[in-house]
Amino acid sequence: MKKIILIAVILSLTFTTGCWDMKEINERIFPYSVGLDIVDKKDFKKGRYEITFTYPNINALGKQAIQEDIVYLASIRGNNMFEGASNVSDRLQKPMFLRDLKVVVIPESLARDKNLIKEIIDGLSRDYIVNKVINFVVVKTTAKDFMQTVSKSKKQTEIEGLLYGLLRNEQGSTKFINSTLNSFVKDMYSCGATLVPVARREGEDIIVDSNAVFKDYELIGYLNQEDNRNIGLLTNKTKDLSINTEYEGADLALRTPRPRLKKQLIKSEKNLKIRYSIELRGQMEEYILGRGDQLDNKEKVNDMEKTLEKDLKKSIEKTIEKLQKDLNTDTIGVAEHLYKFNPKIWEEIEDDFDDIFPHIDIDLDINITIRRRGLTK
Amino acid sequence: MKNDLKISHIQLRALIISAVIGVGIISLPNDLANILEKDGWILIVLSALLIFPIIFMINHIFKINPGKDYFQIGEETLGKVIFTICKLLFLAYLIVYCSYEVAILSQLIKAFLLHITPVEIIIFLFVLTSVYISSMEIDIIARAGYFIYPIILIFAGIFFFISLPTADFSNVLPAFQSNFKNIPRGIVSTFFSFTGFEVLLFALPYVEDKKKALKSSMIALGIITFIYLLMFFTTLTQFYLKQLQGQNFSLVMIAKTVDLPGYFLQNLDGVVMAIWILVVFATFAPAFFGAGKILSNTFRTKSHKYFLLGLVPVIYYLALVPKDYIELQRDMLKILNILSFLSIVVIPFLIFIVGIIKRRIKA
Repeated sequence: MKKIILIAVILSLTFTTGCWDMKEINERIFPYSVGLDIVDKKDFKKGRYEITFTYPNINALGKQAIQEDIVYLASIRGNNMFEGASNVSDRLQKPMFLRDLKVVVIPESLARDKNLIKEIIDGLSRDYIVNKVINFVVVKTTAKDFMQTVSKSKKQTEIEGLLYGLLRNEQGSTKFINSTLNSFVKDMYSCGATLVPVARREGEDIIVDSNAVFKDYELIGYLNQEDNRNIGLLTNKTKDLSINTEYEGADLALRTPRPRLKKQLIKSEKNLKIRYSIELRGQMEEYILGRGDQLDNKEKVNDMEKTLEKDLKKSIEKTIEKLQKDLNTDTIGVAEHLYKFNPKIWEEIEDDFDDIFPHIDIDLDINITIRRRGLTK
Repeated sequence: MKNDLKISHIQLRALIISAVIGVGIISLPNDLANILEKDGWILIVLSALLIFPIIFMINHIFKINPGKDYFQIGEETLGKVIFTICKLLFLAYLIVYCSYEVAILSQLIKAFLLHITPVEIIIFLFVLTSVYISSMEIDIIARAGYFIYPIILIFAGIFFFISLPTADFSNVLPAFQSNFKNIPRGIVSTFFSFTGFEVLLFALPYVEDKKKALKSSMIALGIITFIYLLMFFTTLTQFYLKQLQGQNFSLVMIAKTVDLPGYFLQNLDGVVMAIWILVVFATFAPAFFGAGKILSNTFRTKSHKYFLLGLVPVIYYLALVPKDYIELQRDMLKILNILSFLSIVVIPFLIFIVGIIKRRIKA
C-alpha cells in the first residue's frame, strides 16, 4: 500500500511541474525604451498618447544571427504606458515585460505639461516591476521620430541599447547631467527643480549635450553644455574635468580629476550669502614647446593658475546668474544645503524661497593647483 | 515538561533574532520616517529599552520556578480559570500574528514574483510548509532559527553594502528637528517590530545553561536593535526624507534603485524577496508552534502536531479576511497591537507580580 502511494505521489509530480507564472526569458519582450507623444485632442478616443517601444530583436543576437535589425520598434495608442504595454499585444506575439525598461523619451510638448509629467512619475514609482533607476531624456522632435533614428543608428548595441549607454554616462561627459527616476523625485523634493538631458540627432549620430530644466514638474528652459559643466561642479557630480584658457597667446589645458566642493553659509543677518569653495588639482595636458622655463618659475605657474581660476569663475558666475535671474531655479543645491545644515534659517524662508533665491549672494572661491606638469619640461 | 529537550544559549540567541525580525523589517524605515522624520532611530532605541525589562521579567519568572514550563507556572500562580483566559488571549494573538504575517507576505510575493498565481495558493503553501517545522519540538525550531540567523545578518549586510556607493550621508541631517510629541504614538507602532521574543516563554525552560540565558537574550536584543538601526540609516542615506515618507516598502525600494557599475546589479527585488521569505518563515514557525502548544496543553494531548493541521484553515481564512491594504495594514495591525500588548506584556507581568506576592505571603 505504501509503495502504491509513493508511486502515485512521484507520478503526480510530473503533472505539477512549473506554476502559473512560469515564463521563459525568451517568451517575453523586454523593451529598452518607451516614448510618449501626445496626440491631438480631437483624436483622444483611442488614447491620449502615441506610445512607442523599442526592444531588442533576439534573433539578431549572437554569431549565428538570422536577422539583421538589432532593434525593433512598436507603436500603439493608449492612455498610459502600462495600457500601451498591454495594447501592443495585438501586434506582438509575446507579452511585453517592463522590468528592464531603461529609458523614457519625453518630447518637449509633453514636458511642458505639468500634470502629465506628474502622472508619469507617479506611475513609474508606484509600479512593482519597473526599475527605479530608469533614465529620462527630453527630445525636441516627437519621441517616435527620435526613436526611429536611434534604432537605425550604426552605433546601436544589442545588449543595453545605444541611448541607455549614452545616458548612463560611464564615459564621464560633463556636457550633460543624467537624470533617473530616483534622482528626479529626489531633486523635486529637495530643490523643487531638476535637470533632464536633451538628446538630438546630428546626421547619423545621437548627441546628448544639453539639459532641460524642470521646475515643479514642468519644463521651463534649457541649459547649454557649459552651464552643465558648471552645475556639475557646483553639485559635486563631476568626476573628471578638463579646463583650458589662453595664456600668453598659447592654449593652456589642465585636466583635473575629482574636484572637491564645500558649501558654507557665511552671513545670515540681512542677505543670505553662501560660499561655494571648489578645489581643483590637476595635471597639465597641453601648453606650447619652448616655454619650459616658465613652468620652472613659481610665480609664473601661480599666474597661470590665477588665469585659469579667473576664467572658470567668470563662466560659473554666468551660469549662476542664468539660474537666479532667468530661470529662478535652484538646481545647485542651495535649498538642500540650508535645510540640512541650517534648519532654523530654512524654516523661516522655506515658504517664500522662490522669491528669495534670486537675491541670495553666491560667493565663489575657486582654487586651482597645477600639481603635475607631465612627462616633458 | 519534557526533560530531554536541550537548547544551547547560542541557539536561544539565534532563535530570538530570527523570531523577532520578520515581515515588518521592509517597511520599518518608512514607518519610522513618517512618525519621527529623521529622528526615527530614537524610537528603535526606546522600544528596545522598553523590551529590556520584559525580557528580564520573563527570565525571572522561570528562575524562581525551576523545572517548570510556562503553562505549569501560569496555572500555579494565576489559577486554572484565569490562566485559561490568558491562554486563549495568547492563542488569539498568535493566530492573528501568523495570519498577518502570511497575508503581507502573500501580497508582496504576488506583486513582485508570482503575478498570476492566486494569493490563496501562496498562503496555503506557505502555511502548509510551516506545519512541518512547527510540528517539531522547540529544540528543532531553535536549530532552524540558528540556521536562518546568518541569513538575516547577510540580508542586512547586503542592503548596507549595495547602497554604500550611492549613499549620501548628509541626508541624516538635520537631526533633532522632529516633533517629539509623536514619540508615544511611535513606540506603539515600533513595539510591534520587536514582538516575537515571546518565543522565550516556550524556549527558556529548556536552555542548558540557565545563567547565560539572560545574557544571551540581551545580546539578541542588541543585535536586533543594531540591525534595525542599520536598516533605518541605510534607507535614510539613500532617499530624501519626503521620498522615504511616500514609500510603502523602503527596503524593496533600495533593492530597486541599486545601480552598481557594470549593469549586472540592477533590480535586486527578486533576490531580496527570496531571502525575505526565509526571514518571514523563521518568524512564522515559532509563533505557529506556540499556537499548537497552547492548544495541546489546553486539551491535554501529548503532541501538538494535529492541532497545527487544524489551524491551517483558520490562519488561511483569517489571512484572507482583510479585503484591501487599508484593512490589512491599518485595521488588522491595530487588533494585533492590542493583542500583543496583552499577551506578551500584561500576562507575564501578572504572573510575575502575583508570583512575588504569593511568595511574600508564604514567607
